[in-house]
Amino acid sequence: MSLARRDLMAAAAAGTLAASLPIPAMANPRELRVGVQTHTRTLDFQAETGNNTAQFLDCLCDTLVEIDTRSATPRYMPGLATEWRSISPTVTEFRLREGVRMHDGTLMDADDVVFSLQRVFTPTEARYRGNHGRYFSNFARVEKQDAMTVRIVTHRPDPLVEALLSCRNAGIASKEQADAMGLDRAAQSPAGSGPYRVAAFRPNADLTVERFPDHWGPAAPLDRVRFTRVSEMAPRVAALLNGDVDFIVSIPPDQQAPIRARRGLRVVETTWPMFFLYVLNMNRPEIADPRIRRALNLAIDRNALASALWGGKAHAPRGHYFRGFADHDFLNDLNLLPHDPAEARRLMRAAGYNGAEIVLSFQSAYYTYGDQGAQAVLDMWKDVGFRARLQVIEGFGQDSSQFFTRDWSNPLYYPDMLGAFDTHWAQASWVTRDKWFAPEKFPAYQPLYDAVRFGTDPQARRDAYRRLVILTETEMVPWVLLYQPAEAYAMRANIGWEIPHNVRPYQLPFRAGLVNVA
Amino acid sequence: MLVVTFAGARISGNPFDYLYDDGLSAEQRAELSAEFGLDRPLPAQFVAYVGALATGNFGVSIAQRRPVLDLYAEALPSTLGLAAASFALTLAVGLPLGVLAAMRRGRFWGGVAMGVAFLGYAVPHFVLAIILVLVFGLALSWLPSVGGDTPWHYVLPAITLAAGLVAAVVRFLRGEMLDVMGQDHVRTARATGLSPRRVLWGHVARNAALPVLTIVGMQLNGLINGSLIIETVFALPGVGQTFVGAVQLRDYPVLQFGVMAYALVVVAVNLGVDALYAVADPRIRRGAAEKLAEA
Repeated sequence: MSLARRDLMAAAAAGTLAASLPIPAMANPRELRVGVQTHTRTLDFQAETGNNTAQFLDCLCDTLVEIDTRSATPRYMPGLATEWRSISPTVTEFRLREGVRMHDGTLMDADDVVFSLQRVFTPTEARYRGNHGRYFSNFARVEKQDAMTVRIVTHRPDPLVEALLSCRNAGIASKEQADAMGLDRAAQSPAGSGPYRVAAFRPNADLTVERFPDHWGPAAPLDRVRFTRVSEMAPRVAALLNGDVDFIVSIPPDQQAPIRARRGLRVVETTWPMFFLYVLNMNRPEIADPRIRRALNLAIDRNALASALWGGKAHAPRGHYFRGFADHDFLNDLNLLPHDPAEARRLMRAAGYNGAEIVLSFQSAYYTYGDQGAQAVLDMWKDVGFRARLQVIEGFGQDSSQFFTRDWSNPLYYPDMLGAFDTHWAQASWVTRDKWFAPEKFPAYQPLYDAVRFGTDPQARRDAYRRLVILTETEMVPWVLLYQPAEAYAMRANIGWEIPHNVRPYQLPFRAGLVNVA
Repeated sequence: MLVVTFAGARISGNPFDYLYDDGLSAEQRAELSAEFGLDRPLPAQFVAYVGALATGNFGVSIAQRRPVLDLYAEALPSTLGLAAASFALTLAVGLPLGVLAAMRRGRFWGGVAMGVAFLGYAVPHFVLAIILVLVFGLALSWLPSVGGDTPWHYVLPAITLAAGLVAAVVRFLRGEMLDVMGQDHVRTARATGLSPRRVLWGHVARNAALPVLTIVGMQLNGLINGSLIIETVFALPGVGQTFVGAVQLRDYPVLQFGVMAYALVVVAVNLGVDALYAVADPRIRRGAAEKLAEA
């Protein structure tokens, strides 16, 4: 037997043996160690906008209105407010829950609610403007009525008050803590009222939360949860297989095989209600003609992207709606994004495309498969006759007008048909501020948007949203939707955890009833 | 150094271009610039910066809004632990292998020693790191692959870091020893009947060690200042990640402190190496004493 063959057999035997070996037992089944890909600089409930921070906020804070995460149909429940009623079309009064202890030992009252929400309703600091634009641009102010009653006033009648106030970025933090230590220090260890409190936090690296014994609701099922940043894929998988961590996130389809092969582990998968996309700069002269932007879309074979990059586990979008999200089921007959190179070429000729170079700008290694996706899209554009090149950038800088595209994601932030659209394309968002999105050029847009955003009749909203989806995709074309990405979590087989309903993508809920360790 | 770092940081870009995913309006940018004193003329900013340094105030991170010293103080234990482990491993493996490579030149074990050195140079850090994780973490489950809670967590990162350093020590030590072994005083030592061991350790190794001290000193600089790749792969958030993160975000105060601290480390280590030279080489001690006497 040759040396090489003997060595291969030994390696195979070792691998087989390793696969059959059980995972080392958890040191403490009440303490969960989670390996995350990204981490956060601060834990400020109202300041942080990214998916990276969204992972942790559910542990730390509660909201006036809670959403039932066990029900596929969104159902709003009392949270830090026990009841609420509409005083007028723009005023909702909330009665606060008595006896809610915050992590700093103080009792929650109206001052905490005013402090937490007013700073994002009418931001005076830049750090709060992001979430203001995403969620709260229609919220005017919080008025304290008495120690346990507040009124929330909106600029216009708003059917989404409950939905928006149930988002974790509306989490209530202790005003006393912020007054005592200042916003900056409080942001490192905020005193919310959630089932867990911060035990230790090393920004961008490690967060340990521990059960908060005085939580007003059901007790946290775990003593501690530790979120450690392991940004590289191989060490993250190895850490799980080695027993260094118990739960890991963001496992692309092509990396799941060793986990599935190992006894004692399991994988939980989902296709998120979110898009990875490129925003198109509608005011960039080379792509100002919507026919050019439409051609850029029709040139792309999204099914091929979903198949080749995601092993078929991603969804190829057919418009700005999510297949699998109940509130969008009425749109499932629409296919506004076919792969149609012939039509793309026809549109390019009709628009008089003169060979101007189109630059696909994106941030390398930011979104999963982002680099590969950009390369594939570039080739598809070139196939139909576009002259194009890639540009990897660190950030979009002050003068974003120079760019043609930027990569982005549009998660469903709250469970409403507009939950992904509004948060990203509203007037207060950066796309409008920086004039990448120019809805004023399309008179039909604003009335449709208003009808969906502020309408109260469900059927009328659905009709308007359908027309909005068609308008944006076929006439306005402010984006190139790529795919609804797949996400996978891997964990020990004795951990009972499923992706709850109605939560923002990437949120990691470890509350009572959502996780258990056998 | 201060001027170059200060100016270089500002030429590299504006932190507010990188800190906010959704960008900023002109008004917000002006507001933040005023908050962090970046709206003042550069000379005024520099004077304020130097003035603060003189009082021991190293500034506040623009990204995290925390004292710069806090960021580095948190990062230092991981880096120092890794540096110490790597350094010890480098000496423990590199020195004997270097001697072996010299003494067994042209023979099997000499070739093995040089082969190890060659691999250390040829295999990139990140490749070696992933291989070690896959073999010792994933396949064998012998060692933890991420984090820094126990000394065992530092084994794989230390091996990864030490690989290239061992290679350098082996090569330089072998070269120096071969050079010294050919000199007259070594031939004389052999001729007087001294045992090979006494010739090796008393005459060859001591003389060959001096240049190697310089190499080791240079490597220590790099170890103390952190390795981004190692820290990222093994989830050991140290000084390297802190500094590179500051570069990526143009977090001026953190960046400036990192460069200054690196310079101080280089100076301190070089001074230490010079002091060791005096200990290791009596000629240097005698020369210094004579100069002092003349003065």
